[in-house]
Amino acid sequence: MDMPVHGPTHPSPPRNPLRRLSAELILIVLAKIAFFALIWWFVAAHYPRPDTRPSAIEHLLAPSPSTTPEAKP
Amino acid sequence: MIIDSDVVTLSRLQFALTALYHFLFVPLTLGLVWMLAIMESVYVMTGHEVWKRMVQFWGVLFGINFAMGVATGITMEFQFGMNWAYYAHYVGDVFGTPLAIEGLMAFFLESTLVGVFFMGWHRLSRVKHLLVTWFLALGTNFSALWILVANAWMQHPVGAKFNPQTMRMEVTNFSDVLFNPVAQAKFVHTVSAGYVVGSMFVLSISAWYLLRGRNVDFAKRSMTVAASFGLAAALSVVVLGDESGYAVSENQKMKMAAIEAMWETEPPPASFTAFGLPDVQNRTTHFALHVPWVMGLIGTRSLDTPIPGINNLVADTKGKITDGIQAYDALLTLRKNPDDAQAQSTLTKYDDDMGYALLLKRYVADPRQATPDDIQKAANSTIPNVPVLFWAFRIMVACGLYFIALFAYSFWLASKRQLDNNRWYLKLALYSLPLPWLAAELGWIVAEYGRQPWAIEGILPTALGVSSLTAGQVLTSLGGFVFFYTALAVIDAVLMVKYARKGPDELGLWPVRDTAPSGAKAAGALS
Repeated sequence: MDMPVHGPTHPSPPRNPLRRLSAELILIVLAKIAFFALIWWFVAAHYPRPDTRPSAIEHLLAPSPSTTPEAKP
Repeated sequence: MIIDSDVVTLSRLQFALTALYHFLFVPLTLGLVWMLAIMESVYVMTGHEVWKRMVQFWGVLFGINFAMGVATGITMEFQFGMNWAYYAHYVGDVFGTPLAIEGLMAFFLESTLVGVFFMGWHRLSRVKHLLVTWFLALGTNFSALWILVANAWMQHPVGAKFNPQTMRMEVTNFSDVLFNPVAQAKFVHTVSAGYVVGSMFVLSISAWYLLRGRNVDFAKRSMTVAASFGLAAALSVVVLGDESGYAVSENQKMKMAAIEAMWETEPPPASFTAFGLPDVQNRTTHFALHVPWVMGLIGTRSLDTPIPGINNLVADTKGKITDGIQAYDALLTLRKNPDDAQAQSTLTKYDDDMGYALLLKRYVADPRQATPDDIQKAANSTIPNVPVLFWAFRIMVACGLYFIALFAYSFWLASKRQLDNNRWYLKLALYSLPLPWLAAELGWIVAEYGRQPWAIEGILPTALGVSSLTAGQVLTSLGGFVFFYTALAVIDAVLMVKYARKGPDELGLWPVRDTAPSGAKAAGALS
């Protein structure tokens, strides 16, 4: 195996900026998904599950002022 | 207070902010992808390496935009469940299908093709890569079609009927939903606005290179493509906007009257108010500058069809509310006794107006007990924010006319090969960069703010679609989105500016030793 011991030293080629950009963009997309998941877990996961049965919608539209918290808009 | 207006307002604000933010990315994707397809087609036809490098460089900026924009729209779909649960249930049967198809288009088809576009340069033949780019362009645009089908149904609900048993809207004819004339008009107008955004993006950044004397041949070629495509797109967006305006005047007369600040019905053909200061309090427009006939011709395409004014429409709405109360009463009767034939008959007769009775829920617990004063208030509530619509529409139209002039001049300079001789033109092209985004966002404001107070025009008032949340809960998620989206916007701007400044030269894409095959077609014309 030929291994040059002496000779001109070649500077390593500069890193491809597009390769770095690709890595950055992939990280950004992953960070986005993670952050959306965090917003979901910290804020939305505890929302009361809305009651959307027909009877609840009827309650929502019905004239009674004493609607339940679940059905009240 | 029967409805928590803070929750409604905050939920609307959250949806509006996420939609407006998302729509910063969408039009650039819609437009730039066609520029890539055109440039790559020239590359395949001529074999000139320079065109490939152009695709690769503008593809970098396309990739940044795509990566920053992807998933920002999904928050809106989440909000249907989180903040608009009753809306989502009420119309989910209709709304769910186009949204699901849009999700498949955007996340699977589009994202896969983006991956193949970037990774496929050394793995695919020229023609196969070109096919990928064209399919990417088609897929991107078709994903916009489905979201606009869903949106158009909110503006003009067709192909669906209210079912008193399930208490929701159900599809009766999906083809009517798909071929909703409002959807078709919205689709072509929106995508052509995206083409203007893409063209201006390439034109402005190329102008910056020419001002700096960098990448001159590269920039001139790019500007030539942008000028040609941009001129066609700018002309299309105005012509197709006219079609969209016609659809509005047919189906959303109050929105049309508000855009025009037309308080009273004018004798046909109605004039267009080029300038004026709408006074909501006194229902008049001060210093109005009228252009005769124009509005009548645009809105009705006839000389003898009137465009109803706001006051007349409010009077009509009072009648619809009265009819709607009968439908509402019949619905409640049917819920107790589904076999009541009289109630069924009344509901069938008046169900188109039942939504108008629901407008009363803001003012009275039982719409059937509404006083004339309540009915008047509910009718008045159907007037959208006139000054905002009036000015948003006019600024949008002024931008559209400016784009035609700028791209026409650019096209003329390109045909004379004088793009780099005129510094004031190059500065104008550079500083015009934000204008297409401004016009696109204003277009959305006109479309969506003009739909208020309806979530579904004539069927479901916005206030009744909101989830049973507290204002604090909505405020917390709103704060999270504002913080996160602002951070994303900053990162996006930094990356875009960074890589646009680097340019094709610093990215190693330019200059290039051209190795066009001698027999390449059309080489002389396109090089």
